[in-house]
Amino acid sequence: MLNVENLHAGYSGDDAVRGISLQVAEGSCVALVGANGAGKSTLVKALCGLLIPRSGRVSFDGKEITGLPASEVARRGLCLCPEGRRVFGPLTVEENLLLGAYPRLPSFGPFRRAASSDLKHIYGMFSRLGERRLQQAGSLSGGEQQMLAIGRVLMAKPRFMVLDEPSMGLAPVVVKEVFEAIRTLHASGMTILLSEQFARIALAISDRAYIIERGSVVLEGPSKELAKNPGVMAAYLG
Amino acid sequence: MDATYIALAQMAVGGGLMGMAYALVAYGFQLTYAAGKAVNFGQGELVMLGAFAGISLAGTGLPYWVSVLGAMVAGAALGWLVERVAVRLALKQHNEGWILLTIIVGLFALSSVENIWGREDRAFPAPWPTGALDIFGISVTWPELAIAAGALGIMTLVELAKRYTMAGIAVQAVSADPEAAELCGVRSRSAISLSWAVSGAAAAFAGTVLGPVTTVGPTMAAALTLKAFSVAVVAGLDSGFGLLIAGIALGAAENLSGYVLGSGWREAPGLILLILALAIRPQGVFGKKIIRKV
Amino acid sequence: MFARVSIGLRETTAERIVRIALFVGLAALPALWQGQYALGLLTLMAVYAILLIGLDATVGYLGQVNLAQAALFGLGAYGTALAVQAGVSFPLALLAGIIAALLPGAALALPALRLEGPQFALSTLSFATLSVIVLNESESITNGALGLSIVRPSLFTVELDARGYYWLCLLVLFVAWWVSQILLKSRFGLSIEALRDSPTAADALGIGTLRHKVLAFAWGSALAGLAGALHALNFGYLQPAAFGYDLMVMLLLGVVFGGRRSQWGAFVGAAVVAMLPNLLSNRTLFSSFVSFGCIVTLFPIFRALISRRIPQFAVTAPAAAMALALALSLFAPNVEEWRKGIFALFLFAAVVGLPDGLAGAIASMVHRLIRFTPDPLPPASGGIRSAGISVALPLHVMKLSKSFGGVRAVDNITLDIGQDEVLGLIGPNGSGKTTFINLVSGLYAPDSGTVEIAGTRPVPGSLMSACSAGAARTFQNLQSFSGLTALESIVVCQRDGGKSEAMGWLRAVGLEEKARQRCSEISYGDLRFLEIARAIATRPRILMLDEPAAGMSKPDIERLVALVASIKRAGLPILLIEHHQDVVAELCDRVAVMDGGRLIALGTSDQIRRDPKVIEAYLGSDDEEANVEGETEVQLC
Repeated sequence: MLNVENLHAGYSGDDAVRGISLQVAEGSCVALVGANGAGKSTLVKALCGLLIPRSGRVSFDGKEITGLPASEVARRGLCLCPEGRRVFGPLTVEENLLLGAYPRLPSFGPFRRAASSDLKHIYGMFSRLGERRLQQAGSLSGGEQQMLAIGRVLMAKPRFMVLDEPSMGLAPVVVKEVFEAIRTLHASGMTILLSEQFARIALAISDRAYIIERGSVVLEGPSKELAKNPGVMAAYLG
Repeated sequence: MDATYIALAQMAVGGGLMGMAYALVAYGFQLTYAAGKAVNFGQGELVMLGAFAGISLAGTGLPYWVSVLGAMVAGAALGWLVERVAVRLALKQHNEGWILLTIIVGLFALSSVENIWGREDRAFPAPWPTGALDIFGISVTWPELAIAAGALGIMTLVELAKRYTMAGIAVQAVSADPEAAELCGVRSRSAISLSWAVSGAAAAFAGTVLGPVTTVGPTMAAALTLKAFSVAVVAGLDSGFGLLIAGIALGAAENLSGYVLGSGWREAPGLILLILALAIRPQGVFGKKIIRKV
Repeated sequence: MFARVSIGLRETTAERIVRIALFVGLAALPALWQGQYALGLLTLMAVYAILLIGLDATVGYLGQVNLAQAALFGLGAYGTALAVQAGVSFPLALLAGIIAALLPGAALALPALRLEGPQFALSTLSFATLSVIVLNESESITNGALGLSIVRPSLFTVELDARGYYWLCLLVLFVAWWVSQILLKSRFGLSIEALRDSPTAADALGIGTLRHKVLAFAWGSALAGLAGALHALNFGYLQPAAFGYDLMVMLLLGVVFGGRRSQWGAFVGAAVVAMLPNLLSNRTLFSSFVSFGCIVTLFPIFRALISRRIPQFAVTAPAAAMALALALSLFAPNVEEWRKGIFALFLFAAVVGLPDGLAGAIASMVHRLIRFTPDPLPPASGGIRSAGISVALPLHVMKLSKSFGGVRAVDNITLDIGQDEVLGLIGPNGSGKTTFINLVSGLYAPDSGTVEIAGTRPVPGSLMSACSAGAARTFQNLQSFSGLTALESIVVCQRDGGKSEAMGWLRAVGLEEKARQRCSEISYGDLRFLEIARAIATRPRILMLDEPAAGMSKPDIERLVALVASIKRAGLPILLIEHHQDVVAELCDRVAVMDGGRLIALGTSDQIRRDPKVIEAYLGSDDEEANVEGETEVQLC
């Protein structure tokens, strides 16, 4: 479904992503695993249009999307749940969710009615968001914000979901909850690309994984096999 | 003694009502600053152009309200244009060329006005009754009331639109986090353009309500930009709260100092206030402090 | 395209020759070009050139939009006029003009220069408007809008005629130009450019932003006053309205069109500003001038079209502006009425299309045609060495805490770094490592706790104070002084020693060859090394490196490891934040691990690698995984 060929990308200076190729099949859950600074976030941003790659190709559903702006990529159904959650702090929980569905809601019409069934669905999944739907998103706890960020992506009815460091800055208990939610999503048939620095948990819920070190893929394969590979540890602690 | 007090109160009230118009122009600054961290240093020229557009439209025999609406449409188009030609490129390059460029575009607008409408001040025809209302011995004219009602009306309308339309929510999202908004499929560039258009429309509207009270001429622009800046800076470029208070206070102070010190000094308190506010609390009296990041 | 011609001259020498030739030519002009009118124009041009050299100090070197220069010019003029009325002599009248601009300028600079960008522009704009109001309304002193007339006093015993006065202005311009050039090429000028490019780094390296900004602004104001004084003595009649918005826009046009950060640019700009209004009165001349400009702006469009690209906004917009100006010059009923509009169009085209101005464009053309002999570099001397032995610990941090909103970014950290020690600081993303360095280096003030650097306690939240106590740092995101060369970047950071010492620091990081290159042209990896050189040039007692290897290629990382090892050998203690674990393992005596703002482990690299808490912090905890899915096991080596 997603096909990345020999991608090079970076902000300034040398590439942070140096020739990565990867494939994600429809319905699978693929993990990108590596220590921080390995280039996972840069890769994810280059996939989703937040960063224009220096070279290489990204195609989604057989169509090339390299270099398209993020809003276009999102409109095609490839949606990123960004690192650090990035919820709209001053807006309410419900407004955040509505923004997820922005492309298909009327700009000046009765948008709440158009989205009400989808909102109900999200509140059914994350009951705490329903309880706080009129609260400012910035006042939520970290875990709730992560749920909101995931809910916001789901509102877009994505066909492919990219999660960038969903565990970042969260307490272990909350990390567990978040990953439980991701597992449920995957079980319901969602295609997922998960970029995660916590290798154990990422390998536990994914089907396949790519281990990334210094901007390149150093290992790849089924997650269960990688979990037994000592090379994974080496990518973290040298 | 009593008469002096009444005269002073009269001045303060009249100035305060005018100040609502400054608040409205300043509100335009807040809109564009929130969306793209830039403001139009030629906003006063937009106010002036709005007023002249209103005069010309009314001159063709259109009813007042239609010409006000027409002026707002023109203002919106100009606001959009300013963003397109003067701001977008500089912000993309992360430099502050937009300050110079908005001044330049304003200057061109000023020159165009001088050549199209002439350098003389003109009266703005408005259908308000000529008499004045008497409230506790202080007389308030209808055009002054129109400023207050109009400023409040536009600001309320825009605030409601920001909250109760999807486009408004999207604009708020862009100002909170443009990248995350892009990820939601919001085209942040369009949202910024929309803010500039609304800001331009608000400026043009301010011109049409200010026109009947003052007169309309090329000299009004520069002074208005500064006054609106004073209001926006004192209130904080990023907070809605306090704009009206700051506007009313500035208008009143201006009238009082004009009355006490002589008409030439009218604008001095606003300027001093602006410099002081910038020096003491650059983020505005009601604004939030910024954290440096490396 | 062309072969570059080598002329065997240094660029500075060539520039000096051309400059002197220019002044000789200008001085000879009145002999060739007769007439009072021409002489008046030339005098005006000289005065404007002084004014613009002053304006360039803020607009060009400081990089801030300064809208007060016209008003300061006016204040200077009025100061001189009033002094003349009081009957003082010629030199004293000039001095009065300088002071009349310098004092209000300094008064404005102190509060205003804490501001940046739009806020600074605003405060100068309000100052300018306020000044004109004051000049207009203080009728008893300035005679208000009616204006002030004076008669030029004699210079000592000489009664200057128009030609003599022109020569005097030319002489003053020559001196002002020369002094400005020396000043702005000196360490002071380099500091100003450094702080424009990165105020944070400038403060962190002890350059000191505010002091330099105020001085630069004061220098600009003094020149404005001087120009104003000459202007007053030239015209003999002053009106407040002449120093308002219109003049300010003209001056901006001059600086931007001429070229920022260059005295030549100011001179070219002054010529344009002085001549343009006269150009407007001759329609044929004017429209041919505009046509020429229009054709010039069309070239980049053709170039884009030939290479089959869609021309960018930056290319099409100047052409559109010039085309509009051409239309006005051809069809407007009265071109002089459109003066402001035409200036606006020129300015627009210049800001968008000629970011370096006319002087910049000419200079780069000259560089393309002529190869100059490079300035000789001093031999490198010195090298990495410690700042001397002190009994106190290089870094002693007690119970340091800092919160942002509700997040405890740094939570009660106590940490020491010993003499000759390299301490690694590692931890997952967002664990607070950079915040910790920001607290130690004084970028943030801690909520509680203390920092002691080599036995002294710097003022919390002051980069300058931490730097003078002996802290030096690099930045995770490069903070290079992009307008300076590598050598100049070091020179501004040095506490002592001259250029050959600076070469020594460059040699220490292996950048000796790049000494003359501008930072904007130096590769990313080398800039990281330059940042380290900058930091050690301040002769610190503790060096803090924030992810120095981030984004580096493999050979560069090897170079970095060798460099840090040599710094360590020289006896300078280092705090190293790094993600590359092999780098940490190789260099660090001890490793501290942060997670969630707290210090969770401290020990040797091997100890850390085996610490279950650290493994948990990096890989996620065991029980989570067990809860999520019990069957997979991650083998740890």
